[in-house]
Amino acid sequence: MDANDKVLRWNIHYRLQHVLMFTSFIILVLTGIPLKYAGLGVSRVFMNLWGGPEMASTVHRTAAVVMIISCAYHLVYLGWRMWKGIFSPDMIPSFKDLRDLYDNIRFYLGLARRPPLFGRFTYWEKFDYWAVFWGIFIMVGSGLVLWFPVETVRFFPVWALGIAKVAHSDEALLAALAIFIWHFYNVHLRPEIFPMNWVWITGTITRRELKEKYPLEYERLRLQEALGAQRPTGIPPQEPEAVASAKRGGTESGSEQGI
Amino acid sequence: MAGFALGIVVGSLLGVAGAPAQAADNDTCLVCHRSPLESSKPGKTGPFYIDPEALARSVHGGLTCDTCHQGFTAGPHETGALQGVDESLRKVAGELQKKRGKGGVALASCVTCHYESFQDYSQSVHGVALFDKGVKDAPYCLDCHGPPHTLMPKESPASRDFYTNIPTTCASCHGNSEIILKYRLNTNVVPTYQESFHGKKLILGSSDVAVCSSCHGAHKVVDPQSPAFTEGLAMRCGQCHEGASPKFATAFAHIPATETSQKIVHWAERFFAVLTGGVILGLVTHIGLDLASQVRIRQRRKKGKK
Repeated sequence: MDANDKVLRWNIHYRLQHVLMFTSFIILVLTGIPLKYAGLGVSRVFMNLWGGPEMASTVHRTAAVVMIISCAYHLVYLGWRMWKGIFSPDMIPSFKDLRDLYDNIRFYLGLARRPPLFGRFTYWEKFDYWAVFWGIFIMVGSGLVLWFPVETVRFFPVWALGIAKVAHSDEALLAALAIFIWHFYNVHLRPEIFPMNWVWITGTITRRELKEKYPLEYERLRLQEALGAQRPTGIPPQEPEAVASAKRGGTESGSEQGI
Repeated sequence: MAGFALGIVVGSLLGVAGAPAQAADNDTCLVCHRSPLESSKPGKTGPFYIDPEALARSVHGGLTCDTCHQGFTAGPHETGALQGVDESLRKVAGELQKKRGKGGVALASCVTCHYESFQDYSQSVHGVALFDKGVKDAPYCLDCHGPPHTLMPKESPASRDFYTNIPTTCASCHGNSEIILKYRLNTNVVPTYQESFHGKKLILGSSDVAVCSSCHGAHKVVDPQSPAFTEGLAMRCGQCHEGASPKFATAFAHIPATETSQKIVHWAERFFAVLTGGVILGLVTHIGLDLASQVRIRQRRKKGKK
């Protein structure tokens, strides 16, 4: 087993969901934020790039549909994994995440010699996932209200429109800042990672990287291998995709990790 | 008021019938009024200068001077010339003179041709304010339509009544803090419109959104609390928002989120302000700490190599 051997971290479904998500997200931001800051001269320039506010509105709603599809894809896929019995709850927050945050900040401040030992996902990766989960919930909900205001007041009080406008506008700003500052730092600008973490394209990371960044997951993988491809969690060994990849003589070895 | 308006209507009908008897040639007037005249105030151009080309381009370019400037038939600017002017027009002119301190037949003369608009106007809050309550600043025709000699059709983007210019035109009073304070107008009218999707899209260049007149009308602007306004409102929303109900129509009422009735919206604003501020502060702090530790590790490695 070479340290440069690759381990599948994101299978093709997750990568596709991510691509659908971020392309629609970027288009939604570029068509939506100029409306939020309509008073700024630069907003009008942006709107004209889209061919005016009417066109921007159409593009915005189209991108929203793509985003909703990516979410539905994700949830249906997770459901399918549960049904097949290969769902593993690695993304669920746990007490260990709080503990890791505390330990990591101690490490940052020089109060601990090394960072905590992370599992498959660090607490900041889980934060990203659940921030998007919450964000989508707010944005799609409020967005649909604003898309169909006449229908909304048929079933809800009039102030639902006011709330939806505030929620859509403010949550959008929060999401945009979180993605373009926080997520971009963690996956692009961080000196260790620059220019980017390629996993969103390749889906794989090396065993060395896995050992460095996610030591507990690395140990779990080794244990699994030692037990002869018998997953400790009772999950069937070797995803079809990983098998196929190995048969093709691909570089991806090791089993896929279930989310 | 109704009696007054009716008198005007009947009178103006007569006025149309007996339009200026001796239509003077515009060139006769322009002999003098073509070039800038000396003003009584030194250094300023007098008010009597008419650009013949701009006049020709204007929507009233085909009219003769004395269509509006009636009574100048017996030679230039002779006193007592008003004798020949229709009586109802002189009555409006007199009212204007009395209420605003300036009037004259020309200012009032819109009535001669646009008597339907005038009838609507005289029943509006603006007309009632001017003629019945004597509110000096209440708008009369030219205050919304702009200078008469360069008046463009409302299809022209240069017109103050061009669809997308209407909010700016109304805001010249409803966004003017002096006027607002003086007459205790609703201060929220302009800001809440600008903050709305209608106002924002308008600023960004859309012409497919509601402007003031879409809901309030133009000449017959009535009190928004009155049934005359609220009864037809849902129908007006429905012109764009198909199936709009009266309940839907109350959604956009120029009420800012700080008002008591909008408390829940206000709290939503507060919630997101705190959430966004808190989260971003936390994330930026985490980035700072991470960056600092990465720099420290690198320095340690460099030292180790030496």
